[in-house]
This record gives sequence, C-alpha cells and structure tokens, in this order.
Amino acid sequence: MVNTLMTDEKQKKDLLIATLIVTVVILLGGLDYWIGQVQTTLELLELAYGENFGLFNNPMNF
Amino acid sequence: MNEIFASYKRTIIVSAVLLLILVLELLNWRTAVYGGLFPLFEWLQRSTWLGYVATNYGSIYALVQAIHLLSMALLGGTILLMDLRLLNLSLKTMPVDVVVENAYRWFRFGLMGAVVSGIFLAAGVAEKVYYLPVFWAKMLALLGGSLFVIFFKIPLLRKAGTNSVWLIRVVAITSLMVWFTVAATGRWIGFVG
Repeated sequence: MVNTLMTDEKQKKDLLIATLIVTVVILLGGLDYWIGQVQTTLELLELAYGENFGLFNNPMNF
Repeated sequence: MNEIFASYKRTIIVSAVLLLILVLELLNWRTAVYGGLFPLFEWLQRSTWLGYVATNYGSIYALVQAIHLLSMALLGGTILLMDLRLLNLSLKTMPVDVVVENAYRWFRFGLMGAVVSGIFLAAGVAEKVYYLPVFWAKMLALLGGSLFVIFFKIPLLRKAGTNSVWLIRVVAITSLMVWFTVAATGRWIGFVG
C-alpha cells in the first residue's frame, strides 16, 4: 500500500517535471517565432517606407 | 539506475528527445531532409488521385476546405473551452475535469477531421506549399500542439488534477499560444505564394 502510494507520487512528480520542460521549450519557441515575425515585418515596412515609418501612420500618405 | 529510469521515465525520454533534436539541428539535418522531401510533394500533387481531384475539381476542393475550416473551428473551440476553464476565466461553475474530458472527446474529432481534410488540401497545392516557410511553421505547431495536448496536458490533468495551479496556468497559456500559431499560420498560407 505504502509502496503503491510512493510509486504514484513518483509518477506524478515525473509527469510534472516532464510537462514543465516541454511547456518551457514550446513557450520559448513560440515567443521566439512571433517576436521574429514582428521584427521582420517592421524591418520590411522600414525598408518600404523609410525611417519615418510609424506604426499608426497611413503608408499611402508617404 | 533502473529505479531512477523507472521513476523518471517520462522526464528522461523528454530530455533525450529534446537533446536529439538539438544535436540534429546542430548537424544541419533539417536542411538535408528538406531537400529530399520535394519528390514526395511532387508525387502527391501530380501522381495521386488526391492531387488530381484537388487540382481539377474546384467544387470538391471548396467542399473539403469547408470541412477543414469546420474541423479547425471545432478544434479551436475545444481548446478555448479547456484552456479558458483552466485559467479560471470561463465556465467557472463547472468542474475542470468535466469540461476538459468532454472537450477532449470533441478535440480528437476536430483533429482527425483537420488532418484528413488538410492532406487533401495540401495535395492540391503541394508544390507551392513546399516552398512556404509558413506551411512548415504550421505543421510544426500542429504536431507540437497535438503531442502536447495528448501526452502532457490531458495526462497532467488526469493524474495530478488541479493541484499544481501555476503549472496548469502556464500549460493553458502555452496551449493557447500553440493553437493560435496553428490558426494564424494556416490562414497565412492562403495569402502567400
């Protein structure tokens, strides 16, 4: 009975650690992807409209 | 040694898989495999009945596209139901396990529908999507998101319940982000190439 409880506790701990590792990797990977996309988009807009580009400017007015 | 492996089997396997991915990345394995995949995409579009029907019958393509969108809506809906409940933002009066188990059942149908219809849709434009980085981003997010839900999120909730509140909240946020990426990159494919 005690052994079963201990094994169950260990399995739970194992699952928690594994989930934490995977969650951190996926979260950081996703953030890296989207921050990279925002950066690339801003660079492209700057290339197209120059340094005067502002996020809320209407590009058709340049 | 055996006892440690038996006690931390999942953690050891996860660490080994992540290490393997890191080593393969350092060896530029992805680039090597990518080049070799083109014949498969070419074959899918030009030499299979899937590719033939998807390229020549617009009405069938539109029908399958509708099934794909509905499956994605089902998938996204169940993810929102599960994750917003885990974040304690919706359905607060209903027990977490009831919401999650019911939503998970429909999640599997949504996933199956999206994958099957997605293969048909990809067959019609296989040579185009092969060159789109956003297509590969979607595939990676879809694979990662599915494995994450099936092997980590659901087992965690079934085994550990809602005891580890912070981990469950981070898991819910991660899940939302991954499926947002799947949806956004999926729509993106339609606007490029």
